[in-house]
Amino acid sequence: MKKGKTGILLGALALLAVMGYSLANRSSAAPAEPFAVRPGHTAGDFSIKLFSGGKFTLSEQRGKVTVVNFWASWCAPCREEAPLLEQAWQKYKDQGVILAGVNVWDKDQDARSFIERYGLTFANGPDSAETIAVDYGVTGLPETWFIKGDGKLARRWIGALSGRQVSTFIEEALR
Amino acid sequence: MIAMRDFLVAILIAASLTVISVTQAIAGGPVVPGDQEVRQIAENLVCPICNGQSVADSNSQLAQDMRVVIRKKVEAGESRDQIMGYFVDRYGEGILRAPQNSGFNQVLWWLPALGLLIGAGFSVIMARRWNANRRAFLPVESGSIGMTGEEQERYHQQLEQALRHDS
Repeated sequence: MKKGKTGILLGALALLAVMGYSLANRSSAAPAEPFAVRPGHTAGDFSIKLFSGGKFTLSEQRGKVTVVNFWASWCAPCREEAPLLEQAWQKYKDQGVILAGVNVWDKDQDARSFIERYGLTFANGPDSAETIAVDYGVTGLPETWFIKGDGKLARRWIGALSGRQVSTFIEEALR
Repeated sequence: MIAMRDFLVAILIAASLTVISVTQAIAGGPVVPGDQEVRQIAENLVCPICNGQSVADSNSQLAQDMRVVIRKKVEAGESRDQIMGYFVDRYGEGILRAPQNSGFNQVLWWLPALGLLIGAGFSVIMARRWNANRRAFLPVESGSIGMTGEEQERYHQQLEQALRHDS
């Protein structure tokens, strides 16, 4: 009986040790980004009809750094960063950098008013197919992808960007 | 009278429930081929921004977009595994309602059964031990400790000798 009791205790301790070790290993490392949104992954191609007319297709921008920004007119942080994105566009447009805004979950008129209000001159168009945000793993707005000239993701940023961050991340993608 | 009243109330409730069910079925609209599969896949995905709601049940715009993507992939002939894998690649394994049965997650699948077995085994051991202890304290009746008649006779003679010796 004593042996049985000891056996049960040792078995329980062994099980706890295995679980504790596995849990410790999982929590000690930062959770990895999902595969398709990790730096180095090739950004999914997409096309959007622009509010200003014409079309923007990501795959046609190979050779240039492309900054893809997901936004909506009702999104408060989007309003904060819009002027900063326009400033970055003015600074880098002649240095092989393209900026493209993808408007999601919004009304056409509200989006156009937003563009006019902030004087945005870079390409902007709606996600009419309702698939681009999902394809990019977007969970909130704003979200910005910095894509290198080879089409691979350099960095993904969730939340509003500061002016300094926009410049830093563009420079990083240009390298 | 009371029985009749109860009967009528029961009929009224049953009729109301029937009307509600039929109305909902009609309001659901025509069933599009692939609806069932889209719904089943969406039910197995957690909306990333909706506090535990499934993609099937959430009214958020992201969930709506996800359902659009699921439908397009179903119509394109992609398998359930491929579609689920697509979402895991973009949102991580946390988007699955049930953890995948691989790696450390296997523990989540077999641990409850193992726990039940251990608990049952422990209960059996404790019950047997309790019974054994209980028997040890029960008053001993003649023959209850399993001695033959001859052994009992010898035991009684030894007992009497010991008592006579003490006195």
